[in-house]
Amino acid sequence: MLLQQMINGFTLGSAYALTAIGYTMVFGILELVNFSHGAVYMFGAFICLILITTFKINFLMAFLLSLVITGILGMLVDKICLYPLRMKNAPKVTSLISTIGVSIFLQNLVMLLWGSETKNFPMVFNLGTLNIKGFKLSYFQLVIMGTCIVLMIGLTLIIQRTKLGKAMRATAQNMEAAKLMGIHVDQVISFTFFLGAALAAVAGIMIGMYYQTVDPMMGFMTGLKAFAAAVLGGIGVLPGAVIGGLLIGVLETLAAGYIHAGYRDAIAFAILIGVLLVRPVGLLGKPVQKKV
Amino acid sequence: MKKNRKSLILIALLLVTAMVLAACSQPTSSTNNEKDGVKESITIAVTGPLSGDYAQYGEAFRKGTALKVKEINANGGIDGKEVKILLMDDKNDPKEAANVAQRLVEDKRVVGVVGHFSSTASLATAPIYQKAGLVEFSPTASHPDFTKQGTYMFRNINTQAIEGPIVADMVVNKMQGKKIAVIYINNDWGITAKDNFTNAAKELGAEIVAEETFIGGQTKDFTPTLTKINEKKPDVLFLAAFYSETGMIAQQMKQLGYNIPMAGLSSLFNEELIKLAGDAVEGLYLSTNFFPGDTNPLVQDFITNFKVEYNSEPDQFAAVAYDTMGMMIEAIQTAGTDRAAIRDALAQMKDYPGVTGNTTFNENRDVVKSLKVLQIRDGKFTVVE
Amino acid sequence: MITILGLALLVLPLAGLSSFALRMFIMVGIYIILGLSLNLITGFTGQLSLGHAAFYAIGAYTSAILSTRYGLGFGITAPLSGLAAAFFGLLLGIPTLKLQGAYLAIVTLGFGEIVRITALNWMNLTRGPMGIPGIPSVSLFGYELQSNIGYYYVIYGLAAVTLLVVFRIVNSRIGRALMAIREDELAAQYMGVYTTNYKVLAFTIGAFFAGIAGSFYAHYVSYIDPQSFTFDESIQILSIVILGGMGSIPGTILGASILVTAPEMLRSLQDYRMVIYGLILILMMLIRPQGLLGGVRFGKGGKAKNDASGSKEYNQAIWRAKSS
Repeated sequence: MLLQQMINGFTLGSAYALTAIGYTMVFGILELVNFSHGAVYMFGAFICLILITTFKINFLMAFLLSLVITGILGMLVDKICLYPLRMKNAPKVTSLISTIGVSIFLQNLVMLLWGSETKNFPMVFNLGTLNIKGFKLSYFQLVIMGTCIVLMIGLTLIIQRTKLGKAMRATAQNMEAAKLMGIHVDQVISFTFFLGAALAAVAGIMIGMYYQTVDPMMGFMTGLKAFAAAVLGGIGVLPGAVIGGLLIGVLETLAAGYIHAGYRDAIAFAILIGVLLVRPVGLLGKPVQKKV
Repeated sequence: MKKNRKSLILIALLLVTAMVLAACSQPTSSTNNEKDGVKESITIAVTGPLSGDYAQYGEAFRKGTALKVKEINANGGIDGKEVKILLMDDKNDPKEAANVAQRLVEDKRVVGVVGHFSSTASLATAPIYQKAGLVEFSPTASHPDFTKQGTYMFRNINTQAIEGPIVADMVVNKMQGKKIAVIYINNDWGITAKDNFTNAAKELGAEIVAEETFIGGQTKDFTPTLTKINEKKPDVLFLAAFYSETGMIAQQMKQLGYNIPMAGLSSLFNEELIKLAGDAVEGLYLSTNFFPGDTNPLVQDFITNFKVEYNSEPDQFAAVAYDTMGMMIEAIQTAGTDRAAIRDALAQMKDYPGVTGNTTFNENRDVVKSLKVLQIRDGKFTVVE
Repeated sequence: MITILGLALLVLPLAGLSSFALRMFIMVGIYIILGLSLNLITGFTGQLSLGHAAFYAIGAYTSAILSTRYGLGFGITAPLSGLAAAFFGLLLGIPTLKLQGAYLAIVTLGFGEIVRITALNWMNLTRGPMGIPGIPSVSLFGYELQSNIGYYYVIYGLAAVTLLVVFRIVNSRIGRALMAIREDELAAQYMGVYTTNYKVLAFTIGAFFAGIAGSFYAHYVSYIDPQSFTFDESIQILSIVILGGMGSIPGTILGASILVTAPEMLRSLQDYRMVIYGLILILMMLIRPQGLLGGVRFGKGGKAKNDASGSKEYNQAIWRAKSS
């Protein structure tokens, strides 16, 4: 049973990791906790579902199209709700409340448009399950984990090897200085939001397919957990998001399997707090140097 | 600077007062408008979650009650007076529900309230309705304490004390469940349902091998719970849950490759369940007091009219809201528009012929309705004899 | 100014308001206390807290349990609730010594969730989702409050006390220390401010008043369950503080009035209500990011200018400091 529970935990953890990557990307550049991320994740899944069911587009096209649409939504969120605040040099919390506003707006808009009931997400390709000595591992679980790792490596390459990545790192380090060096900071930020939102859509669609259901509130808890995962791994560090996500997924599953299912989320958060007490910047985070 | 600051505070103060007063004055002002109207009318309030996590149930309330009112008005209303619905969103939040309740008891037009949806909202509002003497007739609140809050609280749903034993009999005798695992939603309804079911099942000689819970709307991943349950090798998995979670549980069980027969309560009777989970819920047993396949002409008329009006199938929630509104209107027909008289008329109502069965209140203002046993066969709800 | 405000509030119920209006005023009063207590932590000390509803819940549950099981009255349960919440505030304050920004945010958020989930699962203590019904109403000096008017005076009395205490704190040596921590923790430390103690103090006092608000709420509505203390509730309180203006006492009062009454005014919009609420939240942030009354304070006039929070120069300075 332990092995099966570990497999369950890894799948759940991959879901968190996938969402946490987007969180951590935006935070790395802007030091902004983006609460709309969960809602964007949900929106991505819904757009894909609507494209498939209402517009009868085949899955692959719908998938790509929803990445673009959600990515543009992410950019719009930044341009409309966050960019003006940056220009005014408003305190960071204001941006946080603004993203909460976005999240409330999106959730309720989706409810208004497509109803609040849980909807079936078609299983586009049934890959079947792998059976090893009585332990069940569906191929789709492997797909989720694989996507997670591919994305992590891909993003790391973008950030470390490309010119755009360099610009992103420069912006993250010092926005003013980056601007002075001729980097189009606004474009870099827009790109970050596009990427972050598209990643959220990938996560939303994959999870929608895995559980075969989507609902307007699906982003809420996943968003919180992904945030927790990103922080646990060290916010702003890509591999940290993946490790944090997997860790929270496994711990939560074990808590549900061996302690008490009702307390699973509480246990996950308690462990997170415990880790932060020992390592205040998360597992892979670098200590911030304080300056006067 | 100083002057500026003072004027800001003053503006703030004025704004506050203006806003609160504006928020409060709405019911009274609309009453005045009503009086200018030519036709006399009777207003019944309908409350439920129209926004938030549970909006689909509020929507069912809205459709069910509106259909009943439309039928009544088409037949000349109540003594020639048109029946009007005052629809109020409580978001299924106890605080908002209490605000709504306060507003309704003060709105002189309102003669009775159909609502609220959950036991939480119903319990939080009960003291307000009781104190003001306004009937709170909940189609769905099943919390055992609800009707104990006062003489103005009524419900139109079987409490789990009634449904539990019937379903236990179904599981133990029809499904041959000797070792039963239970998954229940962690809310007042889930806990009472679980307790009543397990007690009755134990009396029938079954063994409860696992009791697992989850938090509604929050837990989407049931794999650890299911893996744990599978270890205990139960004959039947009993679900005290709503259809959306049941759909997820069934699908995840299928993905894990477990094959445990499932059973549930009337909360699962919804076409959406089959749409959601497809063949993963094949063979699931459940109870219900509303069933569209019922040959009763009342039920058939209701379904036809509902389809014409909304182009969709009614579910249990729409049906019970339809009946609740019907009973409320019948009480007004006998008692007039006095709030206290309506309460008395409701309490004395005998054998109201509804689409969810014949309804009479017992001395606690709870109902006893007959239940049917259904099974999902070939993707359809079918009656089990 | 304060006298006018006080007098206006004192005579208001006599103007023949409906019970519904009084109820709205009472709810506003509860959120004024919650907002002020969070403002002390987030607005004045600069510690972002996403779990304030937890203290509110602890206060409410303490009162509900003490009054239904041991028959204690509001006069005793309220201070005990405050103390219970303050104790947890102290506990939560300790991790804040090391943590900052997003790390602190997730710890407070996690704390809020832990409290709610515990309330949901610990059946023996809290009755879990069954909630605690039949909490006796407030009785003071042997009188049981029956009408909303009575509750109105009690809550505004409590709000006045909270306001006075918060006002005295922020205009004292402690307040200056708290604000020094907000502006620049390290600099404050070098100036000889014992930052750890002050941060914990802010959390403890803030939690105390939130606990009192919870106690009042429990006695007022007579039924509580974990659903009343979700993450949304914490966000609602934080929104009040930020909308009104961080570090502004009149701002919190205005913020509470707007955010508590807004959903009521929007109720006629039915399904569109929450969509519009979300839009309003975004718009308000865009139009006045420093909060409606950011930088406006009660008290000595000259200080308003010195209190640089929300001013452009201050924010630019912070922005530069953060990005350097």
